[in-house]
Amino acid sequence: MRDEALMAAYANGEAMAFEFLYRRHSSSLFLFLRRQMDNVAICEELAHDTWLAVINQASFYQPSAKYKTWLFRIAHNRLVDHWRKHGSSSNVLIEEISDVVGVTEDTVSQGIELNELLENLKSLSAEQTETLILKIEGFTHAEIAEITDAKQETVKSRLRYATRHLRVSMELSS
Amino acid sequence: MTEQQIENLQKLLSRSTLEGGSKELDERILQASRERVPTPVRESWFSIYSAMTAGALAVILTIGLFFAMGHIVNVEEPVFVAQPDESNTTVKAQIVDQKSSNSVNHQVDRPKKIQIVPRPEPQPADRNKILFEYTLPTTDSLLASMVFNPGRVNATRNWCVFVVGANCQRRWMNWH
Repeated sequence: MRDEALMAAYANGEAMAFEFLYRRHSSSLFLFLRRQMDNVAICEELAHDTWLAVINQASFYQPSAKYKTWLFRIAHNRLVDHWRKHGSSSNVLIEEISDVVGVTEDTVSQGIELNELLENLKSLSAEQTETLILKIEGFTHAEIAEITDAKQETVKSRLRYATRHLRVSMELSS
Repeated sequence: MTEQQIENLQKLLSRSTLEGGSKELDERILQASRERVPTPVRESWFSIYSAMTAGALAVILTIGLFFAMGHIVNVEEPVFVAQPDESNTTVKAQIVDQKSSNSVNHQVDRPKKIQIVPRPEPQPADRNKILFEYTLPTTDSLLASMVFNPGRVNATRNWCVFVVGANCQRRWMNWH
């Protein structure tokens, strides 16, 4: 059953529909927040706020955009609000990649490439990192633009910049 | 970013050990979703008729109110922005009866002083006439506001205000 239909069912009083939606997206939404925030407790708080907003706005939800896009946009807004109040983001993505490569076969060349990758990731801005994370999550340029409230050209530009920085190290896993 | 590059990164991150939210979080959210299940909106003929009746009543009340308060003029404070040309031409703001079929000749004066010079109190004068006018200061970017006394303006007519002058931005503001 499609997300939009599940949301409509929940808006119509079917409590179980929300549970399906939650099971489907809770993990990816949490990872989206977690990759940009090193404090797990704050991540949980932001995820909680995001889902509460979904619950509260269920009656007004109009399926003009994909449900997942709408959901991530709410999360993005919560994240930005948090950054505005408490300062800049931290880049958990770097540690995550470092951990992943650390548990795989480690060779000298991989070690060098990893260092390059991590150095390059560090040079990305919060917006570029977020764009990259959303792209990895499978969103299209148009959807990323909608989530981050940016123009499509800006999204493409952020991804181009990220590519230029990551190009050298992208062969890591291949 | 190429699809291959994204795919590589996706593969890499699929082996991630980054944990999701806690079970407590799941439970809290699902509990909230059960407690706040939206009430389904069930349409019935009764509710449709009720809505139509309420709508019709609202229209009738609005029309009644309009007639009852026909002489009350809601005049807000209009703000004009005018940019005089390089010759520093004086800008004038005029109030004109909009029902006039005749156009009003725009007057452009040479600058005198930088101050607002109001004419005497506006009177509900004849149609087709300028009721009163202010000479506005001619600075590079001029912002002037005019406040009208509602009691002094004849409510039965449509009035409009505009700013005239060489190269001036002209703004019409209507009210009834």
